[in-house]
Amino acid sequence: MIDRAQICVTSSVETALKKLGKADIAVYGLKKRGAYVYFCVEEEYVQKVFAIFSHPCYNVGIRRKSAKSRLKNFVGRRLGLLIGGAMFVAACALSNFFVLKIKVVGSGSYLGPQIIDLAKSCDVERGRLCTHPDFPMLTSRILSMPGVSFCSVQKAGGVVVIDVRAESGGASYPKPKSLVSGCGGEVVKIVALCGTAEKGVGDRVEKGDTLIGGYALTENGERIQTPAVGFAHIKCTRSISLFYEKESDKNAADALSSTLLYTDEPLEKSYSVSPCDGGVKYELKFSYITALYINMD
Amino acid sequence: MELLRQLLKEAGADMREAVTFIPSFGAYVKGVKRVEDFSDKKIILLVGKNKLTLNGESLEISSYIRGDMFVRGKVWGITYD
Repeated sequence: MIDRAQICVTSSVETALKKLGKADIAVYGLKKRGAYVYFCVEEEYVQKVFAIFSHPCYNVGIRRKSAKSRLKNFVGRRLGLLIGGAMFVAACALSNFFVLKIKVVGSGSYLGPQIIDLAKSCDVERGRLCTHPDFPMLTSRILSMPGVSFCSVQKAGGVVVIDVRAESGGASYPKPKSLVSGCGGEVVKIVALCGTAEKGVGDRVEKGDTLIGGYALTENGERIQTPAVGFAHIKCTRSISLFYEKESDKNAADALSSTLLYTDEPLEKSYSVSPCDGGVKYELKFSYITALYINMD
Repeated sequence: MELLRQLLKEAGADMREAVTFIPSFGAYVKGVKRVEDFSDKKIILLVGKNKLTLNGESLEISSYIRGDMFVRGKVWGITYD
C-alpha cells in the first residue's frame, strides 16, 4: 500500500499543479471542492508542500495524515495502553500454562480431596506451572482407586477438569471405616490411597490406635467422610517365655522356632535362659513386620 | 501498448506528447506543461504549444508526475488545437 497524506489548500488547481510540478512532486487524487483543492502526496513530500504553500495567501493543511503517521501518533499517544494490552495478552497466554483450579466433577466427585492429592503426585497442582502434565499417569492412578469406573482429565485454559464416575449403586464402595492397628509397635510404612493417615513413619502405636482414618480434610479444614483405603506396616516386638526341663541346643532351637507362630521372617530374635522351679526358662525376644490392609481387595 | 509504442516509434512519432483515451474511465496525457482550467466537467491542459481540452463528467486528476497526467472520470470528448 502506498502511504500518502492528503493535503488541502486554498488555491486554484492551475497554480497548485504549477507549483507542485515545478518541485517535481507527484500529485495524486486531485479534486476541487469550492475554493479548496485536495490532493495527495507521498509522506516524504509533506514538508516540501508546506514550504511551497508557505505564503500567507495560501491556507494549507493536512486533511488526512498518512497511515504511517497515524499509526505513529496512535502508538505515541496510547503507549501505556498498548503496553498494558500487550502485557494482558502475554499474561493470558502465560496463564494457560498454569493450573489455576482443579475441578473434580461427576458421580465420583466425593473423592475430590484424594484425587487432588493424587494430582499433586503427578505435578498437577493449583498455582503451579504445568507445561507437560502427565494426565495419562494421573488418569491411571485415579482409575486404580476403588469404586472408580471412569476417569477423564482435561485442561481447559487454567482449569484442570477431572471427570470421575464411580460405580453405580454404591454397593461395592468400601465403607467409611478406619484402619486400626492390631498390635503395638513402630510404623515402618503407611500408604493412604483414600482417607487420612493419622500416623507417620517412625511413630509409636498401640493396639487399637487408628492408622488411616475414614475421612478427608477439605481446604477449609472441614472433615468429610470417605472410605479408608490403604495399608500400613508395623514393626512389632514381642517376648515370650517357654519352660524346659534342662538347657540344651534342642530346647533352644525349639524355643526359637516358636516365633513361627507370629511370623515367617522375624527381623531379629534373641533369647536368655534362667533357672526356674525344676527346670529352665527360655525368655525369647523377637521383632517382625505385620502388614495391615483396609479395602485393598 | 508495447505494439503501439513500437509502431509509433517506427513511424517516427514524437512520444513526448500523447493522449491515451480509455472510454468511461479516463485519459492519460503525456507532456502536460500547465493546467489552464480545471473543473469536474472540463479540463484544459497546455500540451507542448497546443491546448488539449477534456470534456466529461466527474473529472479529477488522479495523478500528475513530471508532465504525465492521468485524468480519471467519464471523458466524453477530447479537443486538440
